[in-house]
Amino acid sequence: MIPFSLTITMHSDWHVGSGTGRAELDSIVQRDADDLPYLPAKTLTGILRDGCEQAAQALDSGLTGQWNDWLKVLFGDQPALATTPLEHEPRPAIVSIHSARLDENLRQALGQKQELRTAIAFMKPGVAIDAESGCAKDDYLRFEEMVRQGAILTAEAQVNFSEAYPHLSTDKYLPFVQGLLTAGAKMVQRLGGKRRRGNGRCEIQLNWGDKGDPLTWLKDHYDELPEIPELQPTNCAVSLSDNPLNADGTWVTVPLTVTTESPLVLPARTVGNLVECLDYIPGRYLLRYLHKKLGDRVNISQAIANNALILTNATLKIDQQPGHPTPFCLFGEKLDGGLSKGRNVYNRFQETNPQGVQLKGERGGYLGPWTDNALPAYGKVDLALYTHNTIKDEIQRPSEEVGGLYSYEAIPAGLTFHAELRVSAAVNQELSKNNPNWHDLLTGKTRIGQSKKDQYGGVKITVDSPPNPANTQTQKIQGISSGCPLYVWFLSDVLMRGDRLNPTLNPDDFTQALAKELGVSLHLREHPSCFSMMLRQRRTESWQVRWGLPRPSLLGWQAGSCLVYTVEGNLDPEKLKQVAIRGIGDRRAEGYGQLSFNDPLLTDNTLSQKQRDSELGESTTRNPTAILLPKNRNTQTTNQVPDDVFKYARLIEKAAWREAIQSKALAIAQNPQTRQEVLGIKINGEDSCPPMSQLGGLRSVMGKLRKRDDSSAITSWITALENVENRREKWPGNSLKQIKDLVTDTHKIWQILNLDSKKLTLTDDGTSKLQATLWAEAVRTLVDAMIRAHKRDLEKAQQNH
Amino acid sequence: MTEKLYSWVSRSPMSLDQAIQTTQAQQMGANALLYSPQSCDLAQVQDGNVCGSDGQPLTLSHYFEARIFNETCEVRWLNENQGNGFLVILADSDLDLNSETFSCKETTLNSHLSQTYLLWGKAIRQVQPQGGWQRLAEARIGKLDVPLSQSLKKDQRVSLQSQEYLAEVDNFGNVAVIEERLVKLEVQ
Repeated sequence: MIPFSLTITMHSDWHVGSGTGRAELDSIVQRDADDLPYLPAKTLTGILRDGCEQAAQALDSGLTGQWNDWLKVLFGDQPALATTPLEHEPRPAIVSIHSARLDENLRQALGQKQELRTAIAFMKPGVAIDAESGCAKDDYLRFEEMVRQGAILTAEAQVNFSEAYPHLSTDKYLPFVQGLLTAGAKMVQRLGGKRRRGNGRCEIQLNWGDKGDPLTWLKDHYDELPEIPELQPTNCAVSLSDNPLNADGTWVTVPLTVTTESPLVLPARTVGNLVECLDYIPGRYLLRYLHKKLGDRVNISQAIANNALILTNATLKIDQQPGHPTPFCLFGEKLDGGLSKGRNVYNRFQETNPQGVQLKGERGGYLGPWTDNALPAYGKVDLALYTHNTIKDEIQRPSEEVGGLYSYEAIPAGLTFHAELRVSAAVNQELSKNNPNWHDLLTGKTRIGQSKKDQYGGVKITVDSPPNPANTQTQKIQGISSGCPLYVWFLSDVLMRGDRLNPTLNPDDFTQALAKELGVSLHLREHPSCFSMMLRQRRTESWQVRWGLPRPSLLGWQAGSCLVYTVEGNLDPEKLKQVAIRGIGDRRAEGYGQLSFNDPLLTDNTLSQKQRDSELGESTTRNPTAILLPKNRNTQTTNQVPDDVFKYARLIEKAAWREAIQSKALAIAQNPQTRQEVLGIKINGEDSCPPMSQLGGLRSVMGKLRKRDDSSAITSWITALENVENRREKWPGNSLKQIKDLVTDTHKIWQILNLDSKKLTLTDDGTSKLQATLWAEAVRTLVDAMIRAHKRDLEKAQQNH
Repeated sequence: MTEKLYSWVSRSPMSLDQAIQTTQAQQMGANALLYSPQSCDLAQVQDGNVCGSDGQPLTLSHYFEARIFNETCEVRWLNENQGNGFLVILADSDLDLNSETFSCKETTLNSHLSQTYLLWGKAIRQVQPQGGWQRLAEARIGKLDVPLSQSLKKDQRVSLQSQEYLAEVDNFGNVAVIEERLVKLEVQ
């Protein structure tokens, strides 16, 4: 893998839209998890591909040729655009570009200041012009959000030959790839929405490290381009009859923490042009990572085939443990209860339906570990929605023919999930041969799910503790004697086969399979007023990446389903533990078939009397210490930022200060008392003191106040006024002196406005610099606002008389 | 008229190779759908051999699930442990199989429905990969070789015919699809 980075400098205001609007804004810009604008990887990849297409066409002198073929190696095939059936399978891209974000220091500093995050963008009005009349059309006024120019964003990227072309000589091919990409980047001049209206002018620079100038190299060698390589898929054939790894003996568990670094798209189903997302990470998504990390020590495929390796689904972390899917036997009071409110929840396996109260079944979400006297913690994954489009080259717009608009639901970045890797004694022995600390190899980063090449799917995996032979979930399991109940809770979806090897959704088939595993007879509990079986079905449709084809539909029971049996015969706790750790049914290595037995939540018969003590979750408050960005003065201080970033931070600050000055001035001007204190103006009955003509003069002369030195023009005007008795008398009390003080004392305006400079300042000397820069503007704004408010109040007073 | 679905389950687990040898008599002109971690393959079964589009026998120890079907019956096999699994045969009529090897079950049906799955890809002009095979292609997946003796015209598609069996599933008279049997590949 060859890493490189992109630096994108925005020379004009830009708009990469989210596809939605908000309040008065018709079109807002896309923001990331930090609530800051960014350049989505899909936008960046698309625009760079477009640039490279132009470069390739120039090098080939046409639409076909070797450079055009190489473009498909770099960015992958576009099957959606194919007009004829193609025999070769689509080529994957070798270039992977991630989203571009603002400077890390700037993002951290902005992260604590809402006002500044808002000020990074502004509202731009627009109208549509009628072609015939040349006037603005009715009902065509719109407001779009624009990010301020001058932003510098950086993106990580990689060139990776090893996945699709493992035997390719990187030294031979890389310079051509670098050359084409760099040339393509040079061709890009604008990106984002309305780029033919002056927005989004940019410059993209590719940073390859110390490898010379790819363009100079390209100039000398462009005619030596080699043939495009053949796709070489990796072979993962495994013989089921070989059996060096078995599933006997003690199992070893490795707890894994999975943190999302970018949004994850894990498709649950596709509805129209919306891809719906799961709220957990199925174990199957991490198997590829296991192959990479442990594949040279043990045959992972063989271990999976022998059911000697299980990777459980990663579910939301709640109280340092994997969240359990909410059991369907829990019901909340419809009007004032439920798990989200933390009160009035009934366990209908144990509690009867309360009289006169309407209950509603709990669906979705995850529960933390059981605590005796309180409801367990409850968490839900709030999925984010991202809209994208596919641009048709000829018209340079999204078009239905090539896909048009589509949306991805995604698990947001910054969430933590927990999973478990379970391996049998034989696999553990094989892994420990050369390295007893093999679990350390599992720590790392990978990308999973749909669109993992670019914007989505970044996860960080860490190992919480060394492997241990006992599973925390199964430690508490006790033996069950004949006639006692057995509570079963599905911690993941369960896939079973019937007696004709058909996928089955018949509860009797599950009962039989479980009874066979446990060596006892199981009968569904009979209870006059409580439920004993709460099962829901789920159908999973997915794509098999290695096959390059869709996988057959998986039909099974949904995680959260639960049942109560009466046991006939003595149940060995060891057998229960084995089923709890190995699971039941098909595809257990991928996380399916996980069960929990006799969980205290399901056996509790006073759940409705319990409440949750505190709300779920760790404190999300940000570090209150303000980060100020110092300007780079070529010293070694690590916190310093480059000049360009400092300049952009100052630009945002200035916009935020202007916004704050305007709103504060308007608020202050509303109060007649304050107007009298600041300017000495007042309303007597239906008369203005001084008259409006005098105030018009003041407004006129204030318009000349552009910098500190201009205050002399106003003091001269006041002196001239004072020298004419007729005019002096029109100004009440000390009003003229008050105005003179306002324009000569540079601190007075800031005392009046009393802005919260800590909230509005991003750079270390920002307050003093901005006070100096914006002094004249602040005075003008305040005086203007006061005179306007005074006039409005005067008009009201005159109407009332 | 009341219909019946016959199913036979082997009394002991066996490998896929053994399963194919055991059910040779039922595999006249059969095609197979084979699943391995590496690929999902369509194959032709003749005289106890399972061959791919290149005419070569496939390595059966790689597959974890198989569905072998013709118009009379469907043979199913699923790996349970170390390459062994139970064998199931489904048919509309009694095949009179050896009761020492198989246990038989008859299910009374209400009726059956014919269903069609459309296969990915369209026919393309090309040199035949092997007698009795046709090649489909689609930009999204590449090529897909299907065992089919009928010739295909350009842009024609291939469908997989199946039979769904309807039966009562509870004591209230509710009817549902209880089983599905693959039947044949057909030009559409």
